[in-house]
Amino acid sequence: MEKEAFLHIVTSNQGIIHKVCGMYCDTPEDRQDLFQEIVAQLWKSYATFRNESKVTTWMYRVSLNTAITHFKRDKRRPDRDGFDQSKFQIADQQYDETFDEQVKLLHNAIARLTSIEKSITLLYLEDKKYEEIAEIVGITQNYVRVKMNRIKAKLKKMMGEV
Amino acid sequence: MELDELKSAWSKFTSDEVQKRSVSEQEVNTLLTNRTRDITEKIGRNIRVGVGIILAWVVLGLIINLILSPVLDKVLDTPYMTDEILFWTSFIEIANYLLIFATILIFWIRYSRIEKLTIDNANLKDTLTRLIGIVTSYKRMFYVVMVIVLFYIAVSFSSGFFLETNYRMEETGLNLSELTLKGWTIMISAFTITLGLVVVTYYLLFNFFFKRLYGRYLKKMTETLKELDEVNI
Repeated sequence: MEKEAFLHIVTSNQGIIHKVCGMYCDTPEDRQDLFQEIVAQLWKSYATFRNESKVTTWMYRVSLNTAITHFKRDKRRPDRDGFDQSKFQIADQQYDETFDEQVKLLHNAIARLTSIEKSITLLYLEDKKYEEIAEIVGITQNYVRVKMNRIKAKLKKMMGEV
Repeated sequence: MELDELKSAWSKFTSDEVQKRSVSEQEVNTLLTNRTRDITEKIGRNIRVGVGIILAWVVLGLIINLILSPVLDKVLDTPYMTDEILFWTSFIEIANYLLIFATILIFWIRYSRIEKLTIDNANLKDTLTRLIGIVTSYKRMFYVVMVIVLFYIAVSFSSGFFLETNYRMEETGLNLSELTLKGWTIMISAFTITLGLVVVTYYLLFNFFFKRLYGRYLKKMTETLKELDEVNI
């Protein structure tokens, strides 16, 4: 019952995990690994999640914490029978063909940010308020404001270079 | 491109991506079933493997000392070991095992304490501090064990070298006091070079093993924590 509820929450809000994976990973394999790791960490922490914060806030927090602290394993991969890996692969193949210039530019800029900058940028792009960004990342609003100003300047400079 | 345009590009891109990569509840369940270990679980497994290796080492040492050596001494009729040397080597060996066990035990207690903190209860800074704490303690334990092992190797090698030299000299009817300066130089050089090579090789292997496993990860996490701290104004 508890697992069913968890699966429902995760699949309903899986966009959060995909966005975090897209922000932190370059290859379909890495994306798949991180996706799996995030789901595992969410399940691990689900037992102690007491609805004190919004489900999405909790999901963002665990996903970003996992992405930033993710330990990339070696090339040996476990058997993943029953899981459609093409979902991570096909999307990436289409990526090159249909990508427009703006998104390419965005990706190039994001790739040059640090892991913390990426997390704040993701939440900013998702239209989160400074207050919520601070709650998710677990830092002060003042920190978010200072960091966001620096990131904006950095992004503008990078965009200007192109 | 302005930041507003950037936001709209992001929104367009992510909605397409999420749609393409959408997974079902069953697939999420499969991912959970086939999940691999995370960093803390991997370190926990490494400790268990380490304890297993040390236990095997202790058993092997006991078999060699209590069963194989007495049999070989009788068969070969070469009583290399004097009672005094046997006492000291056994003492150092037991002290080594105890030190290694104590090191692992201390680390295990520390690891268990930190490991209990779950990722959701902690913000990013706490999560990073927790992971850095675990990996740093593991690194410390790893190097302490390495020093103990290298010390043990050096002691074993020195006693073996001394006994063998002594035995060979007795066999040829020579005495250490009769050895010339050249002879001493050759003997000490051979001893130092061989021991140095053994110790350096083991050290490089240990070092390479740790750096390859967790060195880069630890550096990355420390830099991230530093970045988080530097804007904390």
